[in-house]
Amino acid sequence: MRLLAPLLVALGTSSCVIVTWARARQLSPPPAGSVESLEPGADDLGDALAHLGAPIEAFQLEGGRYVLAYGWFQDSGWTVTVIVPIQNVSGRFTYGELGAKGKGVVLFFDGDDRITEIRRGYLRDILEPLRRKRPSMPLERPGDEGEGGDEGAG
Amino acid sequence: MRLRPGPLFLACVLVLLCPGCLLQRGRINERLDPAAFEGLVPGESTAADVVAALGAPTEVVQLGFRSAYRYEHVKTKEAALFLLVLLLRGTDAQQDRAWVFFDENDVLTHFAATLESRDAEWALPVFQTDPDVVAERKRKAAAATAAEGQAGVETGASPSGE
Repeated sequence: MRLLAPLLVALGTSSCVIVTWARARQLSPPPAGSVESLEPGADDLGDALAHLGAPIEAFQLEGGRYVLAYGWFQDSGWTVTVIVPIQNVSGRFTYGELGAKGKGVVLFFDGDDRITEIRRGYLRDILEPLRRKRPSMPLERPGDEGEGGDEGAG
Repeated sequence: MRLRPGPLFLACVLVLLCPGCLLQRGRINERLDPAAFEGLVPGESTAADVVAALGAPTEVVQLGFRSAYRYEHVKTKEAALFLLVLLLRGTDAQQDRAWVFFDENDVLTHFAATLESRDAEWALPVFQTDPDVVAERKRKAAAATAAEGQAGVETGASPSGE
């Protein structure tokens, strides 16, 4: 009978209190030591791909530069969700939510495919400022100046 | 007289403790076939050859006057168990992905593939494999592959054909 009381309490609160223990994993970090083995100024795109595999993202920067990003996310934690009826609307309060920030490594390359910089940290913090400064598409290739057009007023 | 819980009562408690469990699987695109990369030769293969071997890319990225194609397959496994007020939930999403890089003339210069979708696990938090154990397992597998002298398509990259 001692079991009955806590059982009834649990049954009575199961619709308004939920305790969650969750673990989430998304992608995997590169092999240990692989990032440290890359040297800015010496290694290039081929070395980066050989050591780290395929990136999750690539995009260009100004001046012919570009970045490759590697990311992963692993987290676990407890969450307590309390659902409280307020008049005709259910209020919902959540505590201890899982963090949603993925960590990663971003490699910067120059126009000759040489690594110029390596940054580690939260991907969002590294990539967001770069995304805002993405260049527009170049209109002409370097050797195309004389084609199609504007000869000038010479 | 003292009441003792009978088998029926215990069965009821057991049923009440396990009102809900969930196994859910998600998939984006088809798995990448390692054999499809074998015919790609940097400096020789063209964008048309790559598309013929791998199909249409998930994304095309412009890198100056060059370009790169991204291929992706994602497998997600989620397991959950609801015990009255306690919810245990484990989610694992792993990916096969490949990038192929072309020069200005759409000739392949580099490619790399990371094939990890098979590593996705069904695992509640209490049973989930420790990430360090997974990393160690992968390291040993890579070392074994290297020791056998096999070409590692999964983590390999081909240098520029220049």
